[in-house]
Amino acid sequence: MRKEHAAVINGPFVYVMGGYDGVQNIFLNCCEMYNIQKNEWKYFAPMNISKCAFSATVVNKEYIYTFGGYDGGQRLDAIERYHIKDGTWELLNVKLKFPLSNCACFCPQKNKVIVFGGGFSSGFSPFVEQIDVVT
Amino acid sequence: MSFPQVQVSMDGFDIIDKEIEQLIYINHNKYLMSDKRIAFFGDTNKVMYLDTKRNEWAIKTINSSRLGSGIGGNVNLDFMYYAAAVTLPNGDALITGGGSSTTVYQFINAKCEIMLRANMN
Repeated sequence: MRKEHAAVINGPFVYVMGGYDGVQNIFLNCCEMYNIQKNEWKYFAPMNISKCAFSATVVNKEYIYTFGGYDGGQRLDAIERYHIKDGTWELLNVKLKFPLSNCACFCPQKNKVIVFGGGFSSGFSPFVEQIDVVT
Repeated sequence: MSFPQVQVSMDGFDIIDKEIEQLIYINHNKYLMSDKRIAFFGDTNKVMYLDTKRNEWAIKTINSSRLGSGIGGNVNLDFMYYAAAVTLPNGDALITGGGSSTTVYQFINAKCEIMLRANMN
């Protein structure tokens, strides 16, 4: 069971990450990928942090970045990066400016990500953050 | 803006379909530039569109006959809250999970139809 997860597409694969299992009441770090052509799901490496309500985007067709989220106790300022070729997750030292859940993000051009909206300590966030991604 | 060059045979539509499929996998972002819409799913058997070029809204009823045999061939779709969706290379949408489910739907944009895909694990 999976809700409040994130999904992105890269080529013929859809990557689904994290979320919340409302039956077992657990936050998820497990991830699975869908092969569009074969109609098959397979697990891939789990994230470092179990979380829901985060956003994710593909960057440069090489990485999947996740931003913020909620781990069951608090909103997160964490940024994680998945290296598609290597199949590994990395918890980055750089953080969001403040903990943020339910934000949205996209990659408008190479090495840039826009993160906007979501919920933070003062309610709904009106802020838009441009992050220069160093790959 | 440049597009990939593709040589297609006119001998059969199945070959043309295959070439188009390969074309959209090369760079689906450019392919989708021709029909930019944002689709909202949630209301029973309805999809709401925002045409970003014309800035116009529209609502359509989804044909769910592919899901099974209800009255008139359709069943009521119950999209789960907190699902996650992505746009597929051919312009369809893949709707995953939500609620207490592992269900995956493919929304066929051109026909406004929905079909079941393999469940998540």
